[in-house]
Amino acid sequence: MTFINVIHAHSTVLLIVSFLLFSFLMPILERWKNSWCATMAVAAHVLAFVFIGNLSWRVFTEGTIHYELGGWSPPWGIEFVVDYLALFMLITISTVSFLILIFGTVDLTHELKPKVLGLYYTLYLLLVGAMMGLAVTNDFFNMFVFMEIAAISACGIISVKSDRECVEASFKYLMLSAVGTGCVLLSVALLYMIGGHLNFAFAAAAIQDVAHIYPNNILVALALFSVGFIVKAALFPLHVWLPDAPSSAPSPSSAILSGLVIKIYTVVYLKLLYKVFPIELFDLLPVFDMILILSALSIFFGSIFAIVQEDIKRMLAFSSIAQIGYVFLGIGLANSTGLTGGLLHIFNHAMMKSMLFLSAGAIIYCTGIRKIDDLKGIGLKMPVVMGAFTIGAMAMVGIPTTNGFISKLYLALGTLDANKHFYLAIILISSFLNCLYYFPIVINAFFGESEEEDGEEEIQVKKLPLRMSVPLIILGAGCMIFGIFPKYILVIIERAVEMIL
Amino acid sequence: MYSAAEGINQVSQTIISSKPVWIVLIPMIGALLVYLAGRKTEWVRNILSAAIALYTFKEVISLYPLIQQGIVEYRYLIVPIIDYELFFRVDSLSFIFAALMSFIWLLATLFSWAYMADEHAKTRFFSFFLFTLGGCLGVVLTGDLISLFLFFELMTFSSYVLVIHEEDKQSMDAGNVFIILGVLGGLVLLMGIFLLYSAVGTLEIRPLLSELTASGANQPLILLMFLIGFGVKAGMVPLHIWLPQAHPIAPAPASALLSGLMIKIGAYGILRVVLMIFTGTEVVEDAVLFAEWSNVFGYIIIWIGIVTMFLGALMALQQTMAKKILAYSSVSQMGYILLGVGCAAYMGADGAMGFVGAIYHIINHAFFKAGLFMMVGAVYIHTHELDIEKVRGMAKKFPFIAGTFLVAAFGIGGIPGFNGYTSKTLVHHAIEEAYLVNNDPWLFIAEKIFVLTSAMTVCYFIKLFRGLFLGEVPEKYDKDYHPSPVVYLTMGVFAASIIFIGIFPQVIYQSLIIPAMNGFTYDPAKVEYLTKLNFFTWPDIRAMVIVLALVAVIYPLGNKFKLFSIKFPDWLSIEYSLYKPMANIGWQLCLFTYKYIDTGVNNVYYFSSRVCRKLIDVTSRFEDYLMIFYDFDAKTLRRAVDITGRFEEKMMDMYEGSTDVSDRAKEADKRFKERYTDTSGKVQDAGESFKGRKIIGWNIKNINIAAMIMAFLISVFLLVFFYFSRIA
Repeated sequence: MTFINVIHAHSTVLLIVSFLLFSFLMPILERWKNSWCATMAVAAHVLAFVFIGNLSWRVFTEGTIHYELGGWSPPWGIEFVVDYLALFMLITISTVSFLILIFGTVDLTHELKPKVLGLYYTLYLLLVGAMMGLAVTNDFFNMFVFMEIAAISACGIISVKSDRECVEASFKYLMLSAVGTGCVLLSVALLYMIGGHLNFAFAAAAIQDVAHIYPNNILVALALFSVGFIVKAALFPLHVWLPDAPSSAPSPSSAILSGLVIKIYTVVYLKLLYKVFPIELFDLLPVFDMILILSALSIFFGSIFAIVQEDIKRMLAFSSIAQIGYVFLGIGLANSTGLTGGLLHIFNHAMMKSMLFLSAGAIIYCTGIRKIDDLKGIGLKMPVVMGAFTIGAMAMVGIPTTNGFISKLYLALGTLDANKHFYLAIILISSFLNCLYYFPIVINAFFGESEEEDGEEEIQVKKLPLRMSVPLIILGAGCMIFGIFPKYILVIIERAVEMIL
Repeated sequence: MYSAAEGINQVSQTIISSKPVWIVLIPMIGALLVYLAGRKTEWVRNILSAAIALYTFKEVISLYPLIQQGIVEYRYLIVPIIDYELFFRVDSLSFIFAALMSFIWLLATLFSWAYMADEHAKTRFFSFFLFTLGGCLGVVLTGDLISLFLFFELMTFSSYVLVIHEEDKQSMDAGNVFIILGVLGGLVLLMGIFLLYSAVGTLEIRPLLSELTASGANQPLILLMFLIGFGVKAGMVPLHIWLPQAHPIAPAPASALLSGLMIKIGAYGILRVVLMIFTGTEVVEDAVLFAEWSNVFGYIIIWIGIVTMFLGALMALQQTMAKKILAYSSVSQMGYILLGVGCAAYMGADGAMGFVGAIYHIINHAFFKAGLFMMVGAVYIHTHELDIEKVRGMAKKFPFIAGTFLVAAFGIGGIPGFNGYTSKTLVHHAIEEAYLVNNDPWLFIAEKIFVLTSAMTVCYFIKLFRGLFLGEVPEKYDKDYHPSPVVYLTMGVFAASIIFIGIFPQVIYQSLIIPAMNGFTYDPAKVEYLTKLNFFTWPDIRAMVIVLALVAVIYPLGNKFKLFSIKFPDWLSIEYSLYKPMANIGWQLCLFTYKYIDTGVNNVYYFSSRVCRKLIDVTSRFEDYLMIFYDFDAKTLRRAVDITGRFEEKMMDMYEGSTDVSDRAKEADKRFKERYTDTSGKVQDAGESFKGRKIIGWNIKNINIAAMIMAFLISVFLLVFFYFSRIA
C-alpha cells in the first residue's frame, strides 16, 4: 500500500521525473537491447497516464494541488502547482504525444538511421517531460530550466536527420530560441531584482507592492517576456524558424513541434500574464492590444504564405503560424468566451495539426511524395490517411461538426463580447483562406480525372502499417467527437478560465 | 376552407416532438446504409435509396396534422456555456419546403435508377444524393441560425460531390467555383449570424426587430451580410456565376435538385431573415414607407430580382446547350421569387401578396424545373448529347417525353391552366401593388421589365422545344429508343402535378400557402382578401395574353435577325470581367506578400546576423588595435623607464657615485629589459607583462609614470574632498 501512497503523494513530480528517468535510460537500453527503446518510450507514456489520472481525480475532487519539491516550502523551495489549466495541458500533451509516438515507432525506423533511433527517444521523452514541467511549474528559475531543456531537445529532434536542411533549420531554431530564453532570463532577473522571489505567487505579491516604485523594471520585464515567448510560440514577425523546422524534420518531430511545443509557451505566457503581473499594469501598457494585432497579422499572413507553398509539410507549418494566432487571439481578447476559445483551440489544434502532419508523414512513408501537385488521386489509394487529412482540413476551415468550428465559434463570440468586430472579420477571412489551400489537396486526392492515360507512372503505394493508421483514426475520430460533443473538454477549460480571470 | 386566416393572430400551440430530428437523420443514416449496400449489390442499393427517400417523405407528411395545431419544436443541447443547441422548429413555411423537397427527391431518386445505369461511381452518387437531402431538410427544419448554418454547410459540401460527378476538367472547374463561392457565402452568412447574435443575444428565427432596434445594432450591415450569404446560394446576380456552370454539368437528377430545390434554400433564408427576423410583430396602421431597414432592403431586393430575372432570361436566349438554357432559366426564375420576397419586404405588413407569390412560385418552379431537367436528362440517357444544334427531332423518338416537356414549358411560361400561371399572376399583382404604394416611376418600369421577361421566357422555351424536339432527326441519333418505365412514371407524375396545380390552384393555395403566413406579420384585412382571391379573372388572363402577344412579336424578329445566337464576348461576362481578375489579383497578392514579406522578414534576420558578424569583426579588430596600443604603451614605458634609469644613474653619479646603487639600478634595468623585450603585440604577452609588473614595496625606483599619475589623481581627489568636507 505504501507504493500507492507514494504515487498518491508525489504523482506531480513523479510524472516529470519518470520522463527524465526513462529518457536517460534510453542510451543504456540502446546499447543493451536496441529493440526495447520504443517499447520503453511508450511505457513512459503509459506511466504518465497513471499519474495524470491520479492528478485529475485529485484536482476534480480536492481542487488545486500544491506540491513542494523536497519538502521545502515555497519561498525557498520549488513549487509545482496543478490546477485546471495545468491539468488541461497535461492531458493534451500526454494524449497527443502518445499517439505521435505510436505513429513514430514505425515511421522513425523508416526516416532515421538505426544508429540514432534510441537517442531520438531520449530527446523525445526529454521534450515531453520538459513540456509537462512547464505546465506545472510555479517557479521562475525552474521554468527557465525547463524551457532550456525543451529548446535543446527540440533542436535535437529537428537535426536528428542530419541532412543539410535539418541542420540549418535546427541551427535557426537554436539561435532564435536562445534569443527567446535570453530575454526570458533577463526579465526573470529584472523581476527578481525588485521582488526578491522566484515563486510566481510570492513574486506576484512582492511586485504588487513595489510596482509603483519600479514601473520601468516591470514594463521592461513584461516586454522581454513577451518577446521571448512570442519567439518560442512562433507568432508572425518572429516565426521564421517554424516553417523550416517542421518541414524538414521527421514527421513525428514536426507533429510534436507544431502541435504541442509552440502551444506550451503560449500557456506559460498566459500564466505569467495573469498570475505574476499586476492588473493595473495592463492599463499602462496595452499588452493585450499588442497581442491582438500580432495575432491578427499572424492569422492573416500565415494563411497567405501557406497558399503559395508547394511542399505539403511546409504548407502545414505555415498554417501552424496562422493557428497559433488564434490561440493568441483568445488570450488577447481577455474575456471568458475568447479565452475559452483560445484554450480550446490549443487542444483542438494539437489534435488536428498533429493528425495532418502524421498523415503527411504517412503519405511520404508510403509513396515518397512531398509535392502537393503530385498528390492527385491518392485518396482512393490511401483512404484512411486521406480521410484523416480531410477531417483535419475541414476542422482547419472550421466546418460545423468538426472541433475547429467550436473553437472558432468561441473565438468569434469572444470578439463580439469584446466588441471588436474587426477580429471577427479576420477569423472569417482566414477561414476562407484556409479553405483555399486545404480544399484543393482534398479535392485532388479524391476526385478528378486520373492521369494514367498520360503515360505517367502509377504512384507506388506501400501498405500502411497498423501502428500508423490507428493513431490517425483515433485523432480523426477525436476531431469529430469533440466537434459534436465539445462539453467533455470544455468541462476542464471552463474551470481553468474561471480560475484565471 | 377559409379558417386559416383566423388562426393567424392566435398564439399557436407548441408541440414538442422529436420527429424533425429523425426526418433529418434518416436520410443521413440512410446515406451510409446505401453506401454499404452499394458495395454488394446494385439493385438492393437502388431499392434502398428509394425506400429511404419514400420513408422520409412519409415522415414529413406525417408532420402535417401537427403543423395544423401549431409549431413543432425540439431542442438538443450541445455546448454548455453559451446555450447553443441544435434547435428544430417547424412551422407551416418549413413544412412546405420539407414536403416539397422530400417529394421531388423521391421522384429524382427513382429517375436516377434509369439515369445512373451507365454512369460511374454510382454508389457514391446515391449516397451523397441522400445525404444532401438530409442537409436540405435540416436547413428548413431548424429554428435557429447556427443550426441552419450547420446544415447549410453540410448541404454545400455534399452537393459538391454531385456537381463534380463527371470528374472531367470542366466539371472540376465548375466545382471549384461552386465550392469557393459556397464557402465564401457561408462565411459571410456566419459573419451576419455573429453580428446578429452580438446585437440581440439570441439566434432563434423569430421576429427580433424590437430587440435589434433597442440594441442599436448596425441593421443594414447585418442585412447585407445575410443577403450576400443567402444570395450566393440563390443565384442572385451578380453572385450567380457558379450556377450556370455547376447546374448543367451535374448529372440530370442532381441538376434537377440543384435547380429545382437547392437554390430555393437561398430564397428561404432571405425570406426568413428579411420578412421574419427584421420585421416587427405589430401591424402598424398607416405605417410610414421605409420606416424599417427591411423595407429599404425590400426595395433593393426588388431590383436585384428584376435584374436577375432579366439577365437570366437574356442569357438563356443565347444558349444552345439544353441544360445551360435551363440553368439560366433557373437564374431568371429565381428573379421572380426574389421579386416576390422584395415586394413583401418593401410593403411591410401589406406585403402578403408578394409573400404568397414568392412561395407559390417556389413550389411551382420546383415542379417544372426539376421536371424539365429530368426530361432533357431522359433524352440525354440515350443520346449523350444535348446541344440543340446537334440533337433534333426527338419528339418522334420520345413522344411521351415531348408531351410532358410541353406541359412543363407551358407551366414555366405561365399559360393559364398550368401551374406557373398562378404564381406569376401573384407576383405580378405584388409588383403592381408595390408600384401603387407611392407611384414610384421606377417600379412602373420594373413591372414592364417583368412582362418583357415573361415574354422572353416563353421565347427561349419555344427555341428549346423547337431545337430539341422538332425538326429532322440527325442520322446519328436515328435509332429506336426505349426509355425505362421509371422514366415514364416520374415524367408522368411531374406533368400531372403541373396540370393539377394549374387547374386547381386553390388546393395548395388554401391548404399550404395561406397557413404559411402564420407567424409572419401581415395585415389581417389583407390576408382576408388573399384567402378569397380568384385566379381566373379577366385582367389576369389578359396580362398573360399581352405576354403571348409580345412573344409573337419578339420571337419571329429574334429569329429573323439571329438575335438568339449572339455570342457575347468573354469580357462582357461578369466572371471574366470581375471574378477572374479578382482571383488573379488575389493570387498575385499572395505571391507578392510571400515573396516580399516572408522573405523580407527572413532577410531581416539574415541582415541582422550579418550585421552581428560585422560587429564581431569590428570588435575583434578593435581588440587588435588595443593590443597595438598596449604594445606601444609598453614600449613607451620601457623607454620611460630607460630614461628614468639613466636619469637615476646620473643622479647617483651626481650625488654619491655609489656603485652599489647603480649596480642595483642596472640590475633592475636588465629585469625590465627581459620583461618587455618579448611584448610583441600579442594579447597573451601583453597580459603577462601586465601581470608581472607589480610594484614591490615602496621604492622611488619602482615608481612609474602610471603610478605617479594615479597618485597625483588620488591626491587631487583627496584635496578636493577635504576642501569640500571642510566647507560642509
